[in-house]
Amino acid sequence: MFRRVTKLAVVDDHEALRGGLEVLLTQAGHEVVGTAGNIAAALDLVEHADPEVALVDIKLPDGSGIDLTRQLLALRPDLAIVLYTGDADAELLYEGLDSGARGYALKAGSMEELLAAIKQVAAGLSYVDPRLDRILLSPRATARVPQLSPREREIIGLMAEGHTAEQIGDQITVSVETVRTHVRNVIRKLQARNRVHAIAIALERGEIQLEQQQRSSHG
Amino acid sequence: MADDPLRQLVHDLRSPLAIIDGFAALLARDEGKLTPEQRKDYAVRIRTAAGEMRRAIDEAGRAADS
Repeated sequence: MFRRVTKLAVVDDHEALRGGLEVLLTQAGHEVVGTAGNIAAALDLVEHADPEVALVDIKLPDGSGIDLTRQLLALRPDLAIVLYTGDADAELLYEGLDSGARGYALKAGSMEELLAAIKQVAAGLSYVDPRLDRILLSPRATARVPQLSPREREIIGLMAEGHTAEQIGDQITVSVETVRTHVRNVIRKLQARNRVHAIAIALERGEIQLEQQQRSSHG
Repeated sequence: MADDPLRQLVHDLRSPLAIIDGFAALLARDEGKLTPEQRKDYAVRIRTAAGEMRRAIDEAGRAADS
């Protein structure tokens, strides 16, 4: 069976973990284009080795992996970044997701989970370790969730009704890519793990209503 | 955050644990495709990571006793 090879960069100050991940991810069929142990080396690596996905540790010797994420995205807006950390800390999670990282994986997770995170973000989706659900679903996290724009609400509402990205693009006369960008933004804003999770959160928060719900609330 | 010795210990154990888990899974899944050199390399990585965990635990134990 064909399996897509993803070009990866690994940024972690723990040398043995860096080397270990290089072997493990290569064994899993990916191409590790380089590794870096600090922010300066990571910026250089991403600029020259052109990875699709970067695994970034939050604690680096010359600064924070979250700051690095912002710098990398300024350099390469299309880069998918997975913050890979030992800390299941709420503040770091919020800040990490606000920085534009598409994934948040814990070192407490298995290699299979890390591979799933890489697969998700490489496909343009988001990933948050399921161990962090209790933080994401807390009232405090919900209160932090930024408002969706009217366009984002419209698109996620149509998705909730079962329309595909292509159908939505036709219906509101925008490209499929634009629809996908809006969906990615919704997933990020709602701090959801994927599209289905985003729809569930949007419904729960009352950001969108299904036609059936609208009829019963009006009638 | 690093001021809390227990949190620091937990943090210090995560990276070596990820190495042990990853390479042990690789060895467990092996269906004779790995070379003897690869198997030895992975076993050495696991032992090195285990040593790192032991040092972190010993250090935390000493800090708790003092």
